[in-house]
Amino acid sequence: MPEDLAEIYRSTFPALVRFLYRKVWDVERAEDLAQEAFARAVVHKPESARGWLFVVGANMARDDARRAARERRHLTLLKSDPTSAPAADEAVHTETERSRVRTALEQLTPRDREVLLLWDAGLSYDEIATQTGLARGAVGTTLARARRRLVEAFAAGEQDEHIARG
Amino acid sequence: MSISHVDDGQLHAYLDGELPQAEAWRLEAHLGECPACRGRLEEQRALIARASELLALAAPPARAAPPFRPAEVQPPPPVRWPARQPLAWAATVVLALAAGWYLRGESPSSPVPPDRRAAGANAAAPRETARTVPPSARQTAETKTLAPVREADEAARSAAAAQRDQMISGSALPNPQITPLDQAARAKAAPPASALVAAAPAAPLAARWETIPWDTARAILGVEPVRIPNLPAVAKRSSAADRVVLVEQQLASGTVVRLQERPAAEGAPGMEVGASERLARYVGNLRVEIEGALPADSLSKLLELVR
Repeated sequence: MPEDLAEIYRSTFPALVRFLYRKVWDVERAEDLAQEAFARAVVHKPESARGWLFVVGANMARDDARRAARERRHLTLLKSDPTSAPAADEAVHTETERSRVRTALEQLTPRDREVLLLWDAGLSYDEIATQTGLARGAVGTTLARARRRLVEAFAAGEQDEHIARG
Repeated sequence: MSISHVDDGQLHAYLDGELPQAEAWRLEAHLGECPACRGRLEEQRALIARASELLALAAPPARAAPPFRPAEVQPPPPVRWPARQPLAWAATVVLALAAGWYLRGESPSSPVPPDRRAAGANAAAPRETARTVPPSARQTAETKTLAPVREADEAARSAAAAQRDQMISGSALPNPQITPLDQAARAKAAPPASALVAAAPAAPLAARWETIPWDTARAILGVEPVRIPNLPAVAKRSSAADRVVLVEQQLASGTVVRLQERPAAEGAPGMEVGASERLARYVGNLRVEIEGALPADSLSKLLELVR
């Protein structure tokens, strides 16, 4: 392996967790998946480990989400409710913001979202192009669209809440 | 001016510092003379900032990265043999043959034809491990797995199988080993206490053991050293005084089988040889260790054949 995996771990693990967190929305789960991805990298010794980790992590997160969706069918989704939550105002606020961003992200197309999250996790345009199969020149265009939609969807979500509250 | 106007994609690439130099110069030249595009540049800059801000809101709570656990199971630098992927299947078969032969109950004293005694494994796919055990009670098997066993169930199944097997043979038969990555599975598949031994820490094998000619190995043991037929093998010893022969065979890149053997009269090789975390298995006085990736079903397949 051309790169030292332990070094990549130090530099990439937090970014990978950040990336996976936006897919599974559970920090411990995201960390487990990231660990698992690194464990597989130890075995597979991929050529360019960094990009490989994100691909494998994303695949695992997808499987994980499917499994979670199956389990959820029988459960009532608990929505964060600022009036009933015992947490401090600030924490509640953070949680609400988080779920708003999550909702906004979910409105992007899978490709736009993937490119945006990969960029946010610190991958370069070249790495993103390699991973998504996009032409390098298309990464900027995709990012431009993804960012615009994210900002718009978030704003629209805020507006809806204001209307709902009256 | 060479370009008319710039599109959003170029502006984003430019602001992200990802626009190739030549294109960046052209874009700057255009911005210099086009107030409309300068206005758009600032809009896009604000958009990027806002999107980053939103993503930051959805960042996971800050936590320290856990230690690099996979490093603990990282293999020592592999011996420089060519990868032998195609042999993976052959190795499984060899493994099965060897186990079958072993269970036939050869007497410990009978010399074993080298081509019949083998411990093998197969490396087509990562994770898990199977190993077997050679012949007569004068030999042992030990295995080590690098990759996590994926399913606790699978591990439990294999363990149960191994346990049954142990009752049949009445000797120390292996059961699957699970890396620290799957502690839960390990707990579930609690080993049948027998020959599962965690080896003491030591320097990497390759570093301390010198390669010796086969004739020397034969002279030490008095018999042909056990090895998997049709696989490149290297015989080693730690020192002239130590009468343990180590046979290293590479199944595939990343998968190494190590067989340690002492002259029959002297019992099993000690535990000083493995790295920490490495789990050892003994049958009689052969110590077998398989290191690397193995397909998950190798052991179950093997045990089925044996049964």
